[in-house]
Amino acid sequence: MEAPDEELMLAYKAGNAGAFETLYARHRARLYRFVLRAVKVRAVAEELFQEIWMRVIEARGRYTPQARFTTWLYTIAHNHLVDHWRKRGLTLVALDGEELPAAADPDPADEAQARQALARFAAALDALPALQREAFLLHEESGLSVAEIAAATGSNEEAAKSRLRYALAKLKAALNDG
Amino acid sequence: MADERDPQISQRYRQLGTEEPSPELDRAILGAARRATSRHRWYSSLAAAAVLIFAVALVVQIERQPPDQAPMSAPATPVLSPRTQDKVAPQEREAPPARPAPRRRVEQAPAPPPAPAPQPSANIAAPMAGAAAETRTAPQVQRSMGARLSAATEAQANLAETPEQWLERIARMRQLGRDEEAEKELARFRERYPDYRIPEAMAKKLEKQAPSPAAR
Repeated sequence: MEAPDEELMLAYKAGNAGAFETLYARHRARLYRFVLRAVKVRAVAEELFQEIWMRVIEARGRYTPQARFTTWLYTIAHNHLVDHWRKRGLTLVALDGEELPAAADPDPADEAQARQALARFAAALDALPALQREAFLLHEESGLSVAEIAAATGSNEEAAKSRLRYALAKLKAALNDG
Repeated sequence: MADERDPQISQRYRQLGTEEPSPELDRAILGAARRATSRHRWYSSLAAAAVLIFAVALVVQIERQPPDQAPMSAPATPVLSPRTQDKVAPQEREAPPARPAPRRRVEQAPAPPPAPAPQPSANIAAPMAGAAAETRTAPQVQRSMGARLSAATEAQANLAETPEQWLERIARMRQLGRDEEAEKELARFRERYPDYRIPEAMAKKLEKQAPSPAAR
């Protein structure tokens, strides 16, 4: 039976580097995609991804398994993304209830329908307000529950649920559009 | 409400790709993680030793202060008179093990500017002054010690501040338009509490005014 994440993190805290390697292997791809889809630029995503893990390494001494390790990890990731946007003079704003922006231009070639649909979906995902996209990615990519999304982003469950539902509705609309 | 996933959306999302970090990135992170644990082993012993040495150095320093310069009445334990101190060999006075601790201290809290007019008669500052063999008068030493202690007290106070109090202080900086200071302080906060969940109401207070949305 595999050791739970929390146990591995505690083992790493106690000086077991091998425990970190297991933990990293479990979460690297999903966390990377979460960051990449949030900032959209590979170079920036790589930099942020590395910094997030550095924060995990530095914070190991204060780690206590009060919640799932995943929630803790994505709390750090969320905080780091917020810092990243703030440094660039941007901010996360909730734009719940806004109109869905126009999808990507359709590909005229009939044989490219599937690609077109995917492009439309990608455009819809990109067009989501940052908080809604984050809620969707935390749920879809990282498997966080609504309560865990609320915990990781410092919001309440109602807000997290609402963001996730808006995101899903817009993505569903993009799926059904065409 | 545990899982809101829509199978159609999940499937389409998976089709977007399964990008992964590069092997170079993996190596860099795993290397840093390994180095951190190897540092951890000797660092904790060193830290304990440094604290002990600093404590001993402080006691020695206080005991060697001339009685007339001491802020309080005569100490309970016998202390060398200034004249006797002058006769003490310099190597005995300099207490070599005390050096690493003050240097560490200097890194944490910047020392006050050096005394402008050193006087050779009071070499008792040497153990606290680092490698430079500078000499200071007793009052200067007292001022220096006072500054160090107040810096240490300030650092302690900072540590004693709860995350909420710290954030309130940063929010006040924002309100006063001290954005640069607020940014630096926020960066320090994040270093110390990378996993702290800042409530959204507070997060808004910590942002600069007139933001432009990142959502698009």
